[in-house]
Amino acid sequence: MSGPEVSQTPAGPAQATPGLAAIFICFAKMTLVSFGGGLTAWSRQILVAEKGWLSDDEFLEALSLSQTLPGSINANLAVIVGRKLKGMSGAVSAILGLTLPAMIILAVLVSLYISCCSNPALDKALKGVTCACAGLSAATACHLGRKHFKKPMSLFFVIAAVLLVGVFRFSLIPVLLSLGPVSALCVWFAGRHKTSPEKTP
Amino acid sequence: MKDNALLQIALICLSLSLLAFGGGKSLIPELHKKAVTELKWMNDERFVDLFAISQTAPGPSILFVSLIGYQAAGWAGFIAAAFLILLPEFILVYVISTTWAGIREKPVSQIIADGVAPVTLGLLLSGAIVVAKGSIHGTGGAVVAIAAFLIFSLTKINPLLVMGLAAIAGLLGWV
Repeated sequence: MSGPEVSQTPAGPAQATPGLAAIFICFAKMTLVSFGGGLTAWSRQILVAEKGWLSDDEFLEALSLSQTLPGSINANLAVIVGRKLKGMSGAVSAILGLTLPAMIILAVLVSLYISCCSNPALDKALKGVTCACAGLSAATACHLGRKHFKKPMSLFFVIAAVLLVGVFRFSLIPVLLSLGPVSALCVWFAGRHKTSPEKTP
Repeated sequence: MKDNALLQIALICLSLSLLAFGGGKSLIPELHKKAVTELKWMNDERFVDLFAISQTAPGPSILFVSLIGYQAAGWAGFIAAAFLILLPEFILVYVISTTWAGIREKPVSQIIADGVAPVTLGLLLSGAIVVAKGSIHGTGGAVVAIAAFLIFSLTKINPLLVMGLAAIAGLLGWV
């Protein structure tokens, strides 16, 4: 995945609490520089290295919670960091900053798509892109799963989920509510709960 | 019918928001099942086209739901989907992060995280299967998908560049 160069945390003194506009603009900038991915890496770069709003440890703690809770990891991170900076209004500013620019871009792209989708050249180009997206989706899953694929028990649940959801097309809710707890119980019985969770780069 | 679609997209987003373990992409198989197989808002091809569009835009990938909302119920669906997929998540994360002191160190949250991880991986792989089925219609498409897989796995090239090359391959009629 693409991302910014890792740089050092500024050694300067902690800055004053940022205003709501500053929080909004910061998260908007984060979204806009993440064209092509690497949003999480950019979050660290901007929040820790550039703004100094969080220490590296605080960032990792917030990121770890974002990954544990359900939902978009970056949206979760925005809520946690926004709340930490300025309570409820900070959390709202952060999530709006993260999502509004992205939604405007999506709205423009989907309008273009709808008005041009009968254009054969665009259709051909998009066919190529969709195939690349299939490869990208598989690569993301394999990258996140490289640790789990080596453990027989984890691999069993990966395969079970692929068969149930990807092949036999069962609904997500029953699969998640049945396989999830069984898998968690197995983890508990295996006493492996001391291993650290998977971290995305 | 549009009102009905708006209500349905709202219910889908509200019910899936708190089930998106591991990020928005784990919802793709379920979104495909609802939008294509059950509610017939679009065909396979439109679904993967919209997914590809959402992948080229910046920001959280969960915003893909707003494109499904648009297809189902126009701009109202676009806005409702984005708002409702984020709202339950916002509330949950906000509440937990106010009381979280050391929550990730607690064995229970660790067991949940470790237990759900393999299932999440299965969902992400299922999503890749769904997208592959909708997009690959021949040898050329398979070659592009495998090439993209290898490039993303082995290098750190910006995905947009790879998608640009894939678009050119498509334009040349290789796919």
